[in-house]
Amino acid sequence: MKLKINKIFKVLIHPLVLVFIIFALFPYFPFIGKYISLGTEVLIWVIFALSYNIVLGYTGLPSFGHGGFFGIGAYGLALAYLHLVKGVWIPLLIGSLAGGLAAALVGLFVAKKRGIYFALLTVAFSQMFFFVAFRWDEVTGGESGLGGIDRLSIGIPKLFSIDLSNRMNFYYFVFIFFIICTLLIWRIVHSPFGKVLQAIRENEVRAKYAGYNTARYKWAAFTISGIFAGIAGALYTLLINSAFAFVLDWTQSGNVAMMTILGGGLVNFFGPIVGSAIFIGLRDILSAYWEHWMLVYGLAFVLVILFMPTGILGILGKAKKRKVLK
Amino acid sequence: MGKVFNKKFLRLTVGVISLSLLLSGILLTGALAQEPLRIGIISPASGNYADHGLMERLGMIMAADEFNAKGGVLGRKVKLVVEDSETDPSVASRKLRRLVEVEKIKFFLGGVSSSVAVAVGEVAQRYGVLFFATNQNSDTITGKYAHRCVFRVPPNMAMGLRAAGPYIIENVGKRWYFMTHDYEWGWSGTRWGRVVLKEQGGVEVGESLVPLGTRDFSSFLLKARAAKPDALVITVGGIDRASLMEQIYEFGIYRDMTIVHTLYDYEDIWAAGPEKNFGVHGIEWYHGIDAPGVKEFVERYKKRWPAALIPVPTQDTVNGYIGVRELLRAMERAGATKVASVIKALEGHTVYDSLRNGPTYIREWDHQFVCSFYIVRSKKPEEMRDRADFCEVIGYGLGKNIARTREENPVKLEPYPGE
Amino acid sequence: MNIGLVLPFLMNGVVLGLIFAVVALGFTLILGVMQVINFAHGALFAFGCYFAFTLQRIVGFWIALLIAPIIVGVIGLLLERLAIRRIYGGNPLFGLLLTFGIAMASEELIRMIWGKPGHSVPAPHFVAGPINLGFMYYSKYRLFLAGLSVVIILIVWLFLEKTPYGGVIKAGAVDSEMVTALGKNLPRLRTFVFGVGAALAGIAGVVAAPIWSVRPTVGTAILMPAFVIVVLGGIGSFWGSVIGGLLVGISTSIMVLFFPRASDIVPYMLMAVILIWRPRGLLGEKSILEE
Repeated sequence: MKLKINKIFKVLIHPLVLVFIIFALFPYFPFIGKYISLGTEVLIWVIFALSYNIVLGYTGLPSFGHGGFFGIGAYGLALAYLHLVKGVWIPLLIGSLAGGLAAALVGLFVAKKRGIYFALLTVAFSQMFFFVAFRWDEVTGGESGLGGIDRLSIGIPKLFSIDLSNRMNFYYFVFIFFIICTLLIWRIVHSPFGKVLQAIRENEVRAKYAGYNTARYKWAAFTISGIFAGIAGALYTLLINSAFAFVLDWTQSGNVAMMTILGGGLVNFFGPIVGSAIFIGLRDILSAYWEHWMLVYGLAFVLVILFMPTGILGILGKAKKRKVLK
Repeated sequence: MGKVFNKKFLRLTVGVISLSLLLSGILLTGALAQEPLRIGIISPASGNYADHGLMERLGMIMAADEFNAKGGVLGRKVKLVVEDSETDPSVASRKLRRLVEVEKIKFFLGGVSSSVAVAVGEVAQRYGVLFFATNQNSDTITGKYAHRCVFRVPPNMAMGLRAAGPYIIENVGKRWYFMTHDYEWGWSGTRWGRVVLKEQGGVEVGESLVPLGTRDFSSFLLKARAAKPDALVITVGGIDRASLMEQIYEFGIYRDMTIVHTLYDYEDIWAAGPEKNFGVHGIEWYHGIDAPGVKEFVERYKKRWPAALIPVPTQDTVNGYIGVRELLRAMERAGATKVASVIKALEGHTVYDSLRNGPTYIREWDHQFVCSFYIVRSKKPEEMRDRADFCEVIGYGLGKNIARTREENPVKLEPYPGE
Repeated sequence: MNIGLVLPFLMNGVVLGLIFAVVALGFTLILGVMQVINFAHGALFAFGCYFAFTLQRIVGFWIALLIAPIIVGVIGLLLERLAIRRIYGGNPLFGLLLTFGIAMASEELIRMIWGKPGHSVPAPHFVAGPINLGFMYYSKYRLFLAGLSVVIILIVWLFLEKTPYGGVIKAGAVDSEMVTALGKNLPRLRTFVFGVGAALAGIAGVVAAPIWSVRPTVGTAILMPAFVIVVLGGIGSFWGSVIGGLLVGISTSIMVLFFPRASDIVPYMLMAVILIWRPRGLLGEKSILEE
C-alpha cells in the first residue's frame, strides 16, 4: 500500500506534470490570466525552443538558422489553408511536414559539418529562406504577407464542435499540442537515439570510432527538430491569423537560441520552457515601457552569454553533467 | 527517492515561483485607470518609416490636446497610448492584441507601412475594435482588405494619380518610365499610373521593379535613362526614397528627364535636402497650400513643437491630426464609445474644416476619407523662401472627382461589430 | 543587349564588390584568427557610416576618412578586451550570440544618439555629381570610391605579405594554435586583429555612406553578404575575400539588370554552387575550424 502511494506521488511531482499543471491553470492566474494570447504565444515558443534544444543542447550543434524552419511551418500552414483546404488539421500537418522537409534539405548540406562552418551555413540558409519569402510576392505575399487565415472549428460532425476562434479554446488547443510535443521530445532525447546524440555532443570523433554514422544521426536530429519547429510555426500563423516574412528573420533564430540558453537548455530539459516564458513575458513588459528596450535586449544577450551560459536552471540547480552513453 | 524529491522539486518550485512573479509583473501594465478615454497608437518609432511615424504622432498629440483643453470627450480626458510597430507586422499585431486584451482599448490609429496597416486591420476586425489607417496609401486597405472596423484617412494612389496624372501628361510628356517599389504600395501607384496613361493617350516605355530595402538604385536609373522617357514616374517611399533622390543627383538623371514622384512625402524631401529636389509631383498635403485654416494650423504646430525634427507639419502630421480629431468628434456625435455607434457616426459624414481645399467626405461603403490631392513643383534652392519651402503648389484635384468609383472598387464590408 | 547597357551595371558591380571585399576582409581575419563569427561586424560598419556623417560636417571628408576608422577600431579593441575574449574556444554559438547581442544593442545605441530617421550623406564636393564618360554619364563618386577601395585592399595586402607581424596574422588566420607554438603572444594578436577588422568595417562604412545614406539598419544589410563572401571565398583567405567580394558584387548587380527581385538571393545561390564544387570555399584551406 505504501509502495503504491509512493509511486503515485512520484508521478505527480514529476517536473513534467508540474509544468503541465501550471500551464493548464494559466488562464486563471490573477491579473495576467486574461492576457491569453500571451500565454498561447509562450506555449508556441516553448514547443519551438524544445525542438531547437534537440539540436543545440542534446546534439551540441550551433544552429543559428532555426527561425527558418519555424517560418516555413508558418507559411506551410498559410499556403495550405489558402490554396488547399480551409481546415485546421490538414494545414497543420502540411505546416509541420514543410518544416521537417526544409530541415531535411538543409540537413543534407550541414550534417557533415561542425562548429563554425555549421553555424555559418545555417545562418546563410535561413537568410535565403527569408529572402525567398520576402520577395516572392505571388506566393508568399512578399512584404505584406498572407492574411485572412481564420481559426475554424474542430470536432466530430454532429457530435460536438469547438470553435478555435475563441481565444480560450485556442489556448487549450495549443496546450494539448504542447503536452504531446513535450512528451514526444522527452521520449526522443531519453531514448537510445537521444543518448547517441549526446555522445556526439560530447565527442563526435569518439562516437564515430564507436561505430555510429554521426552524420546520419545529426541529420536525423535536425530533421526531427524541424518537424516540431514547423508545428510551432504553423500554430503561430493560426494565432496571428497571418504569415509574415519577419518570422523567418534571423532575429527569430537569435531569439530562440537566447530563450533556450537563458533558461538553461544547455544543461536541463526544462531550460527552454523556463527561458521562453521569461523571455516572452519580459519582452512584452519592456517594450511597453521603454522605446529603446532593444538596448536592454542586446545587453541581456551579452550578459547571459558571458556570465550565465548554463542559464537559470543551471545556476539554480548547479546541474550535474548529463550522463553520456549510459 | 527522498533525494529526488528534494533537489528536483526544489529547483522546479523556485523556478515556478520566479516565473509567476515575473509574469505577475505584467499586472503593472494591467493597472487600468477607468476614467480617461484611452486611444491606442500603433506607429513606427523604428525601422524604415520611423520619421513618418514621428510626424504623425505629433499631429495626433495636437488633436488630443485640443480636445482635452475643451474638457475632453463625453466628459473624459483623452489619453494616447503609444506603441512602436517597429515597421514589423507581427510586432504590430502583437501590440494590438496586448492593448486590446490587457488594456481593453477599443480605438486605434496608425500603420504607415502597408503591411503593418493590413495586419493591424485584420486583427482589429477580428477583435471588433476600430482602426484608422492614418498614413497608408496603397489600394488594399480600402479595397481587398477593407473592413467594417477599418478606416483610411489619407487619399489612396488612385486618387493621387487621377489628380496629378493629367497634369503630367499635358505639361511634362507622354512617355513614362515607371519606377515601382516592389510591394503593394508601389504596385498601386504604377497600376493607377497605367490607367491614367491609357486614358490620356500616353505611352509606357518601361518599368523597374525596385525591391524593398534597395540602397543602390544606380542600375535601375541607368536602365530608365536608356529608355529615354519624358517622365520618370516614381512610386518608391521611405528611406529608400532619400537614397534614390541622392542617386538621381549623383548620376545626373534629372538632366535627361523630369522626375515625378507619385506621392511626394515631405519627410523624405527633408532627408534628401534642397539640392536633390527635382521635378513635378503629387503630394497629399503641403504646408504652403492656400486653404482655410492651414496657416493657423502651421502656426499652432510651430508653437507646440518648436524643437521638432521638421519645422513644419507634413502630410503625416495632418493625417494624424485629422484622424484623431474626427474619431473624437464621431464619438461626440454618437454620444457613446461603443465601436458600432462610432462607426455609424463616421460613415457618410462630411468634414468641412478639412485643412484642404474642398470638404472631406467619409465614404460609407469603403471607409475612405475622400479628400483633395495636390500637385507641386520642386523649387530650385535659390527659389526657396525659407529652409522648409521646398515646393510650389501648382494645383489640386477635388476628392469627389478623383476617388475610385464603386465599379472600380467593389467592396463589401462586414456587419457592424456586436450585431 | 548592347555593351552600353551592361557596362554601367558591371561598373556598379565592381564598386559594390570592392566595398564588400573590404568588409569581408575584416570579417574573415577575425573569423580565421579567433574563430569568432562576428555578428557585430555590420554594427561596426554602421558606426563607420555614422561617424563619417557627423565628422564630415565638422572636419571635412579627408580627416573624417582618417579619424572614423580609428574610432571604430578602438571600439573594436574595447569590445574584444571586455567581452569577446571570454568566449574563445567555446561553443561557436556563444560567439555568434554574444556579437549578435552587441549588434542589437549597437543598433539601438545609434538610434539613441543619432535619431531614428535616416540621413543623407553628401559626397565631398570635388567628386559630387555626374561625370561624362563620353558614352554615358556615370557617378564621379563611385569611380573615386573604387579607387579608394583598391588602395585600402592594397594596404592590407602589403601589411599581410610584407610585414613580419602581418605574416603572423596570416598564419594565425589559418591556424591560430600554430601561432602560440611559434612563440607569439596570441591574446595580444587577437586583440589587434579584432581592432583591425573593426577598422576595416569602419572605413568601408565611411566610404559607402554617401552612396547608401545612413540609417540605423545599414549594418544588418551588409552583414549577410559578408558572411556569404567569407564562406564562398574561404575562411581566413585574403584573396578569397577579395575575389569573393567582386564575384558577389558583380553578380548581384548584373542580376538587377535581368531579374531584380532575385538579386538578394544571388549571393546564396553562388555560395551553394561553390560549396558543392569546393566545400571549403574557393580558396579555403583545411583549418582548425573544422574540428
